[in-house]
Amino acid sequence: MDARRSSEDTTHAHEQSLGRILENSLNEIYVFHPESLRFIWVNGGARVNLGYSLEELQEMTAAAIKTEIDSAEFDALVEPLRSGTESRVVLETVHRRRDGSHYPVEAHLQLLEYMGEPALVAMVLDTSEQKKLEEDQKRLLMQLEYQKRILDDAQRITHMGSWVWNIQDGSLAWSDEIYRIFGLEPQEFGATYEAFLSYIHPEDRDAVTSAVQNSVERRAPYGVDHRVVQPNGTLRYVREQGEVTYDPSTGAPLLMVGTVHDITDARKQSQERERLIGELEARNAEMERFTYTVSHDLKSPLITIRGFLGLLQKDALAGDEVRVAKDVAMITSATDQMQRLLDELLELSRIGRIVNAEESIDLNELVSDAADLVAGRLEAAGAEVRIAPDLPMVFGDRRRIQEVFQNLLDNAAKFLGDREGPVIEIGSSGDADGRPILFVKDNGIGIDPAYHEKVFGLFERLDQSIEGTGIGLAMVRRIIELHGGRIWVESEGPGTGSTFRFHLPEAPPEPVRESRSA
Amino acid sequence: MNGEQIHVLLVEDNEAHAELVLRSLREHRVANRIFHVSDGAEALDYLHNRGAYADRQAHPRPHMVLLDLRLPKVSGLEVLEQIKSDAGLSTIPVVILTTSQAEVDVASAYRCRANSYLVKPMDYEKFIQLMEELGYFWLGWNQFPWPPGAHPGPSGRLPHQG
Repeated sequence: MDARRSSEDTTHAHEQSLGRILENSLNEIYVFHPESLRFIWVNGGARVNLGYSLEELQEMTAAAIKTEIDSAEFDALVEPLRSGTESRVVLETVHRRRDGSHYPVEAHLQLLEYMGEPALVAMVLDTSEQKKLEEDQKRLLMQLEYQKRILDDAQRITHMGSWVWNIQDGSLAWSDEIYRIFGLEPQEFGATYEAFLSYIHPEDRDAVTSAVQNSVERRAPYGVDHRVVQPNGTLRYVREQGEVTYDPSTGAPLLMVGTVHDITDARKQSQERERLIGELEARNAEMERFTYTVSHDLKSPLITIRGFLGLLQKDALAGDEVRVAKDVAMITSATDQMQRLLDELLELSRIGRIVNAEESIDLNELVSDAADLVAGRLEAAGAEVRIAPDLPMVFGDRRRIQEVFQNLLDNAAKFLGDREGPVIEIGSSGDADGRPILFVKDNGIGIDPAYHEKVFGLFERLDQSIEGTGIGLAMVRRIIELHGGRIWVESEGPGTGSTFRFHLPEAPPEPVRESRSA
Repeated sequence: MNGEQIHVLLVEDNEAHAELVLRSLREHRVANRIFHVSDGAEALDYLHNRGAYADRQAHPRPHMVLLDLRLPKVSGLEVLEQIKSDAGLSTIPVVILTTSQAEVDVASAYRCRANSYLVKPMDYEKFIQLMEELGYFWLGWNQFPWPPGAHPGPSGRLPHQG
């Protein structure tokens, strides 16, 4: 065998092998005439996919198996290859099988040489799988978007935000709702632990940091309630809960995930509920005390009346005129006592609630009216009444507040004793949380500190020798409490005089600055 | 009844009721001397011989205390508690005499070791009857313990048993 022969044999073998490889390639290879576009050769992969035999295909053009473009369009597409302006054209199109079904393809077209003649060669990839993959991916992305939407809406509606803190690198991610709870624009800035701390109410910071520390170091569940101060100063109450993930092999803390729940509204509601329950309980207790006292205090004069009627009969029979007169006086006094008790009980039942509309009241005017109404008793006691000229404006039920001053003046006049120069002063002394403190002061007999609380009790009478029913001061306290205030008495004891101090609302209460914009 | 002087301390803030009790007890001669005070603080002063009651001769230790519950300053219950927790006074029988029929009052009086609880009758005849029977029972039939420090005589009998 000579060298040339051997070389020709090798080339021939090579071409034969190449032909077999191309014939059996799963990629579709088409060779067609550059002008007529008629197929010259089509490999096995293409024939199997299309369902045509080579002979059938050799009767067809390359445009015939395309669904989206006609011959003219296809001709125009390959023109740059024929003219040599482009060496390659890539085309995404759709092939039609013999059975009418379609499949997407990506075709790479080139002008090459086949059997010594120029021919168009298309290397074609069936992209069905790839297209399906792309669609799956798109669907997954949409699902993901949908899930995120659901989560975002749930967080927005329930005011529950969530966060992830990478303990290793210190990065922190907040959900949009946390930004909103903190009074910020969603994702306004990259969250950091320091930024988080800066929005916590200064008084709550230590509690939060120690809760975090406790959770990370001692593996305790993280849970802490704290206040958030929004940039505009609004206060929100939140409840945080979370847990830490640890490296299973080293035990080092890796991640901390948690939630921030805005509980401001719930908290307000539960406080309101507790306040109402407390009020109801107090009312109930008062009602019990009231029934008890009334039954006792109404029974007491009845016993007196029945008892002295019996004695009266006996004394009259015995002709003891002195005793008869005394018995009659006892009976009269008991009926008077009952009368007074009933009148005041009626009055007390009327002040169970504020009946008149609340209004701004000039105390200077109101106090002098009250003093006029008890002028008789004040004169009888020979008391000098000094009313401070600069009494504040208050807010409340005018008639009830007048009763407060009337009763306090009346009470002061009753307990002046027989000292020289009795004086009753009315004035104001500063304020407590914006509510003015008022006082009614006398230099009378005073009250032992042991009885400072008792004097306000219903039907409580410390000195039986001084007329009264024990309702006046109880009523005063009731009215002041209805106005959200408190009354107390200051006296160092017998002979030192007494000062009754109380607060009244100054102006209409400002609406609480806790609103949410969401 | 023996020759021993019988003393009763009446603690009653209502002057009319006090008068009713005093007259009934006196008419039936159930006590030799009845001391009347009108509030809880005075009652304690009397029992401890303090202030206006410092003179033991004029204000002897009572054989029985008739105690109203609703009293000014120191309540009847507080007086009762103080009597029963004071070693020198705890043996004195304390009879509650009140207008209150409230369960809570009856219960707390007995919890504070009241010896008896009586409700003032509305009816005059019954009031008189109660005072009479009260006198006979507590001051006639009832045996009093001797006060601490007072030892039985050589006969081993209480002084007032003669």
